[in-house]
Amino acid sequence: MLEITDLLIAFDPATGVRRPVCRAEIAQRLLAEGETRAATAVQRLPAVDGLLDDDYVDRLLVSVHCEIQRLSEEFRHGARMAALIDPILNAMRASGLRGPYRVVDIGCGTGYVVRWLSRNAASPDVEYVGVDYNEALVREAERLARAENLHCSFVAADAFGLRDPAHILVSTGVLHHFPAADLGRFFASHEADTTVGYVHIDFQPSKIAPLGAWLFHRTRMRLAISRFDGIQSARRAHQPELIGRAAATHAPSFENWILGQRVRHTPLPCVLTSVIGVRRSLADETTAAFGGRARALEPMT
Amino acid sequence: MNGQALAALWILVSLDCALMGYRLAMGRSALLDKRRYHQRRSLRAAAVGQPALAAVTLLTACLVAAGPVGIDGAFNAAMVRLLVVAVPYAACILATTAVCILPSVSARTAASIVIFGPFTLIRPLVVSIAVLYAVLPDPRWQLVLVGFIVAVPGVLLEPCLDRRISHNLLRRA
Repeated sequence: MLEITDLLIAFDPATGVRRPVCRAEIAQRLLAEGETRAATAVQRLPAVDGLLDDDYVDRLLVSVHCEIQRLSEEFRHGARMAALIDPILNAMRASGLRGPYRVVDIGCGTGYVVRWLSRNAASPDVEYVGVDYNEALVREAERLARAENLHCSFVAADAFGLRDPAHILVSTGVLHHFPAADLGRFFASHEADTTVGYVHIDFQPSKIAPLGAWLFHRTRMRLAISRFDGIQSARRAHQPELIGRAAATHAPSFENWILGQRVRHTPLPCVLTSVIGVRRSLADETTAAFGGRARALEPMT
Repeated sequence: MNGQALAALWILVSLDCALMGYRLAMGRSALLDKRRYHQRRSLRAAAVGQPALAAVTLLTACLVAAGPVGIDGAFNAAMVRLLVVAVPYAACILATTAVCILPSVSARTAASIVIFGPFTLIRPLVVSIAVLYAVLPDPRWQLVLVGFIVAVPGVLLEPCLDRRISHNLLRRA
């Protein structure tokens, strides 16, 4: 299953330089998956000599992310993230690790979570950094942060190759962009010496998720690409158990947990699920910092 | 004409215009604090709707003045039938808006997803049913004309404006 926004931009893996994208090629890929509407939406995008117009694609992606932010707002991604990284930060403080602690948002887009955290969960010993491959999205995130006088930064780079590496890696709605086979490599990258913890929030697949996603995106998103990708996200989300296995296998020096598989006291699946990890040396302090909520943390093995 | 029914319709259409302005503004600003932006857009849409409302009211008054005996009663009955469909819909929207004032974020999110979402989706259908229910029992050409003038922008204006705004945003150099 493909999302259109994943196909609109390509980078050279060695240099990180943006490569031209052939419109017909991605339309063909979508058609091969049986996604006729998505292919039609792609064929309507402006192109020069068959290659997508980079400027238009950048504006489109900014608009798509602006719409998608509604999802982050309604599902309180900022508050959710704050509630999950706070115990890790407290554990780091309690263990004597010196700040400033750098929280890096992988695939930050226009930086909603980073901006929210820097406004509502600011602390003198915490730096919030948003990282995305797409420079247009990073520029927009910087513009929005400046407009509201927020103290956070954004970088167009590989989140695992930063000059000032992360202490806590976070993401929202990013895990499902990786094929199942690549999840292991993603979690293996967390094993860098400086990384102390991570929090990844993503959709949880369920029988009702596609219907809910369709309703949500049909009524709230106006761009065909936002609608298609939003619904695809719910369809291609990974089972928490699969993510858990990948984390436990490829990030073995972390204590890994899943949070939020079921709505409290009901068998209903949560829309979002969180994968949390901390270095084993900090596991006790972290669960203590979670307090009563620690009971809901399910260890991943 | 029935003043009370006219006033009720005027309020409902103004409210609908304000909500249309809100919906058109949603998802267009990625700032964290955009309450004032949304308020301004809603008020502007409600204000822009007033001349259109006044024009439809004036047209109806002219049709009543120039029409045959009994046309006044036909318009009054049609307005009441329109309200029979529109008021319960508006009441649901207002009740959900009231839920959004609650301090519980979960309640606000649930209300937004379970009520606002589906109700936004069926709005064109509600407008169409309300106008058809108002006009069809007594389909005089004057009622059909006013019904058409109300229904077409009621259903098509928002998607057209939406598409135009999106197009302009993406074409902006």
